[in-house]
Amino acid sequence: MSSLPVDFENEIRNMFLQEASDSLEELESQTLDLETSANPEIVEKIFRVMHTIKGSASGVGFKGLANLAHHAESLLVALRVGKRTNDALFMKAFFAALDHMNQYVAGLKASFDFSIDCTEVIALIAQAEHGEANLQTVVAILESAKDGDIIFDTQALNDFHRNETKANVAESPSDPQKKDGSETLSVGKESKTLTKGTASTKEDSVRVSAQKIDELMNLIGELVILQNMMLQNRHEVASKEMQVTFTQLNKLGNELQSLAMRLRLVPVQGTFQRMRKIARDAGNSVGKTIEFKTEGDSTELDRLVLEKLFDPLVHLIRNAVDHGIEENDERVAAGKSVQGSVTLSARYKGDKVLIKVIDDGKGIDPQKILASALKKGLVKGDPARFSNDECLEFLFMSGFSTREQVTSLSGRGVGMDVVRTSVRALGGEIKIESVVGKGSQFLVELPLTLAIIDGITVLCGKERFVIPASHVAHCVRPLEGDIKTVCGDGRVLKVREMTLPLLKMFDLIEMADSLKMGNLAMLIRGDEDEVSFAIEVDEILGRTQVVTKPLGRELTTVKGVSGAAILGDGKTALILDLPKQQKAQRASA
Amino acid sequence: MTEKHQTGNRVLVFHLGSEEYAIEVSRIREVIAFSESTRLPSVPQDVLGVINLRGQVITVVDARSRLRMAKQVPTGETVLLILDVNEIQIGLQVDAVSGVITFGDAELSETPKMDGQVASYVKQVIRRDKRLVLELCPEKLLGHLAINKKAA
Repeated sequence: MSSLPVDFENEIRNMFLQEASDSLEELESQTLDLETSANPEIVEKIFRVMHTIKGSASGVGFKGLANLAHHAESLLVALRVGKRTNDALFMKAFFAALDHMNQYVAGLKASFDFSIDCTEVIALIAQAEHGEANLQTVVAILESAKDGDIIFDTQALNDFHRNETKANVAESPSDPQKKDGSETLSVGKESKTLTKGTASTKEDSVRVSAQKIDELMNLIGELVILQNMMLQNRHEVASKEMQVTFTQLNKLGNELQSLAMRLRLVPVQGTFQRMRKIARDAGNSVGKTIEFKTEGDSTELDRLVLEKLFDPLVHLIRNAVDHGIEENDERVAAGKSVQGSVTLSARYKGDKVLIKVIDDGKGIDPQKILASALKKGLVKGDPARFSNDECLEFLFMSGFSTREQVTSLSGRGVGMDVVRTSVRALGGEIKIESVVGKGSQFLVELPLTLAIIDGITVLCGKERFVIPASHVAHCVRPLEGDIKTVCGDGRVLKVREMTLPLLKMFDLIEMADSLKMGNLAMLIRGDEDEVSFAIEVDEILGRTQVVTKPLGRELTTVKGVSGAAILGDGKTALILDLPKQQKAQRASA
Repeated sequence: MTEKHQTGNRVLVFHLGSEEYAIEVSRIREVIAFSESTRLPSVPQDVLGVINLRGQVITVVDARSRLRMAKQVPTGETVLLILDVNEIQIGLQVDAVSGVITFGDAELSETPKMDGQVASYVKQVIRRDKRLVLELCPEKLLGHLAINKKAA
């Protein structure tokens, strides 16, 4: 029984850390706004979030983090009361504080005992807060910081709270000033109402564990299966009324399922906001001013897709800033504004999401790319036979770089190929459009979710398999003369102008054969988009959206299977990854 | 304390042919009617495949082949025991279940001499009247699957 309070405490700590991550994300974006204008409303917003983090962190016993928040808060107070301005030193110190707090939160997520040395950042904050002249104060603050305790600068806090209404203070339950019935609650009511933008959106949302959503989806999936069965057998019921009810119930179930599916989706906003910081830092490190804009922040994507999209996006943004946007003098010479523009946008496109990274830089010259690719020996042949679009594609080849000099920012061009690989791993595709002198855009098309795929269900002997539609180029019914035997046991299929290896399904997936005819052939695409082989199947049962389920982690030897799907009759079918399996088999042969 | 002791001594007895086996009740999540598994490629021979249990994909192991007995065509009595092993649910296909028994330490006897590997799955042997029930240890029985690894 004694373990319960500890568990409870840990749960609270974990909850705090989750919230802190969100809050820090919010802070980062607001701080970027602060850089452009020290609008009192923004300062106030930032202060409130920071104050909540401080109070909660100290409440759950994360002293180091609370201390850091405290110092950042004091710095804000200095800004608020006009002692400081939002100059470069201020911004540097405040961003440093946020960076350290982010590190702290990440570290605490791994271990509650996590700690980092913050002496330097606290010194920087103190310097920014008190100005370089007041060394005495800086030293004093540093000394007290070492104890790891929080110092409440009540005077400064009072200065700050003077502008807040009573209601707003009362809203923050962790306010340490409130406990001792302090004077801050009653002072001054002259202020205008605070903007509650973020607060009100928070009230509208509930944090639910992904596992619960998965369970809900599982149950709804089962419900839909049962309803389908009922619908199919509805004629066994005499009552017309009941039959109509079945149909209605079925519709409702489908709606419920699509709603549950959307529960997994989160807006791209958070990720986009983090990109602002990336763009800003990238601009600073190469001495370019970047105007970073986002569009379609409320577009929603699967949380998992979004997480895996983070690194590719960072790469694209850095690339745009580093390679896309010209040097300042070049821009002026070209008649553009000195400030380069990078836009990150998201929108729905059918059942997919289209994300664009657009810059108004110098664009990509296809001929330059081609020349470079030829020089590096990445492509061979007559240069004239490549179209401009094909030339741009070379950017995605491994080890490609058009930049003469390697910069620390976006490296030496390894990366675009990695970006493509990551996007494809998510079931998406990336393309480039570019106009020399005008700018470039990278278009990333992604499925809304990894949980559902567009699959073709096939029958092979007694087994049903699901093959992702993206793997299938088309299906043919070979005539007798189309299949030729080569080298003894190998078979090839002649279809149109192509001659493709024709593989047996059960040989490919290394499963004991069950009776089959194999009168249909599916042409399967390989990694590089081109059709690479054909596979025999007995029958095509249909094309449907299926929910993919992982196989249990106890199964480690299964190959060529990416998961399982539950079909309309409630039975499972394996989802095959044939291109991968064929590659693996060829490599081991 | 007494409660724990009791659960430890309560087992679900099932049949494989004429032999009786058992697994601790607390390790069994549920018992479901037989459902045909979807075959999997490149798995140990005793892994029958996967089934859909209320939207969750569950691996099913054939107790007969695991214990080196001849396979048998499922009958109306064939059931799947859904076991909980290190938070992984695994189905164990058995011929039939006969019920739960509670036994005392006095009813335990020495493990009889058997084939080495199969003997290692046996936790203890329960003797009651003329019955001989072999209690199996789920971890050892399913030790050939990656059940001891933590989730990635």
